[in-house]
Amino acid sequence: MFGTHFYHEHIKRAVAVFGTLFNNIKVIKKDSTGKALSTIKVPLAYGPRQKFLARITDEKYLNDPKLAIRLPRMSFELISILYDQSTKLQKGLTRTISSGANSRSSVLYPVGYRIGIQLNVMAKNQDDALQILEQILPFFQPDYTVTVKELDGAFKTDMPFVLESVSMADDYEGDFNTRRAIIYTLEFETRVRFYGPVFDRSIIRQTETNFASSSPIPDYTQILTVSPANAGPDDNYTIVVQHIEPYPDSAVAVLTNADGNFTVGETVYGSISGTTGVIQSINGNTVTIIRLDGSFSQGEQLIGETSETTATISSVEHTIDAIIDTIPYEPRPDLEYDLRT
Amino acid sequence: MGTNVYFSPKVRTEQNLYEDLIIEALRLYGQDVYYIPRETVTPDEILNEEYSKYASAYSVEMYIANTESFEGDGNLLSKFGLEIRDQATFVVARRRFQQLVTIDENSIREERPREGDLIYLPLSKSLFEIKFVEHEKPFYQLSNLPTYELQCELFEYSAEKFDTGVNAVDRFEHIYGPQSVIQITGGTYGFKPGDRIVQQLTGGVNITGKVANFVETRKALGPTLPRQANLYVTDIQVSNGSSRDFAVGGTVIDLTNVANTNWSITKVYGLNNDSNLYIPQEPLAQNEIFETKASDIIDFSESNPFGDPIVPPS
Repeated sequence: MFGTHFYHEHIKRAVAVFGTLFNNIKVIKKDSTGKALSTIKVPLAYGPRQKFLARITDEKYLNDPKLAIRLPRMSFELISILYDQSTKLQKGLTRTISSGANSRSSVLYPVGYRIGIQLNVMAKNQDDALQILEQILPFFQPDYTVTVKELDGAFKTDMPFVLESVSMADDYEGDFNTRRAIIYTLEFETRVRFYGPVFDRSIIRQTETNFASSSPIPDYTQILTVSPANAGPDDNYTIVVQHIEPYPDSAVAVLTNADGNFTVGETVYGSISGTTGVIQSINGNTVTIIRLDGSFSQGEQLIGETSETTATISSVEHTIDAIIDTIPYEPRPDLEYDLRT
Repeated sequence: MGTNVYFSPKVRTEQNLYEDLIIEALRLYGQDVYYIPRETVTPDEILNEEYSKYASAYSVEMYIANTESFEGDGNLLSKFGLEIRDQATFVVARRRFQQLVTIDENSIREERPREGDLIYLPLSKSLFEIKFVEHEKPFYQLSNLPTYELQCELFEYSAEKFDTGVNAVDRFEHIYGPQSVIQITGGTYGFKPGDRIVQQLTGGVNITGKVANFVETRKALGPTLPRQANLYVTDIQVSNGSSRDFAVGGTVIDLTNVANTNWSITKVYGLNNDSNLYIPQEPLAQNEIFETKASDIIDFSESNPFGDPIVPPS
């Protein structure tokens, strides 16, 4: 049903961002006078990996000297993914990514998820582990926030990494053959927004709105038109506003075969169209009719309600007095919603 | 009552014969290994641990008790990468170990093998750490204890220094020790593992290091394109006791070969460079990969709207 392929690498990017927070930690071995004897750049890796890759990468040559493991080292992995109820917005909202002259790229508002990440620190000595820990903990109070680009830089989002818990394991007890493992585990939570597919839509350049009070017949129609017609969203342009009544404002009818005299102010109606109006003026066989609720037809009878005069409309001309206004428009980028938390 | 005085097992000559036979058997069926005593560099009297170094190695024959293969869990993949949990049990004659101790020129002065010392097995090029010394096997058969049984497992390396003079042992530091990679240009001679180098900085500060590897990346192609190489350096120390790396622009002095001059440092590989050269001893490390990838994702133009602590430059 969904079908459209898209992949924004949201989690993969979150992994890279998380990794870069801890990729420059060092452990320094000192002598008793405080002189640095050795500086270890602590290796960091995303823990899950294909087993064969680990073997052929780390043991490229089987004839190399063998050790159990090099320490200290750090690794991390994803441990949970939960829907983030607190970031829910109305359905169907879209955000514009980019606009061209005739179309704009949009995307549905993202769905927020909370991602749990576990960072593990393993060291041979407690002092090494504590050096690493102290280079991490002060920066999380309890969160550390970085601003990241989403959708190839279309949006910016603040991504908080919240330190949820710290635990440690030190298996120093037991028989002498059991390996002592010093492992610190730090659990973090961050928020990732999942965007849907990006789709292009044509730009709406004209709208037509009918306003009605009670009857199904609209009182008037409003037409908005962009001028110039090829203006883009980021250009300066004007919006032409037309208010159009549904019926003519007045009609000037030429009458023949009148069997009486119409009077000014008399209500008249057409025998076929049923249109009614009020005579505003009479000039010979020409009458001007206003307050129309429709249009008269050529050839129908015009009948006066009071004088009961009847005449044939030999020709009629309706007049529509449209109200035209223009609104200058300037782009307002500050009206964009800011999704940062 | 008491034990029978006519059948006493405590006959000295029999004990000596028994011990001679054991030594003979160990020399027939054992392996020549290196016994590497641990030396303390920095004791931590609060956390009860020590930073160690290994400055000597002694060849001695030992018998490998596990005949089929190494014991332990073998190779396994953990969240920290590849681990090799091989275990082995070595048997050494007490008298042979005592001989190591009593030779005057040897610096070893231990009365017994000690936990924490290392054994290098050339057969598999494995470095084992003694986890426990079992001294009561065999159990007083002639009222004596002729052997030590050394229960070992592969060594967990954590930047310990090796300076034993045995190349096979010192290689562990060359390959797995903390390293920096510097790009050098202009020299004539190369370097070999173990060479000592120094860079003299302004203010009388000297940075010394030990060459772990020398990889030529360009041969000399005339005066405008001199010879270029990557120099892998370990055991880096600064004369003022600080922790820092080599600096671009200086000259590398070869302390081992005074004729080897004219090498200048053109680059020190850092986090934004080739991942294989940032932590070269750690092929599974992704430090540089994360840095490169995230630099396209993180927006550094933003200020610090939530007052996060400022990360000082490294």
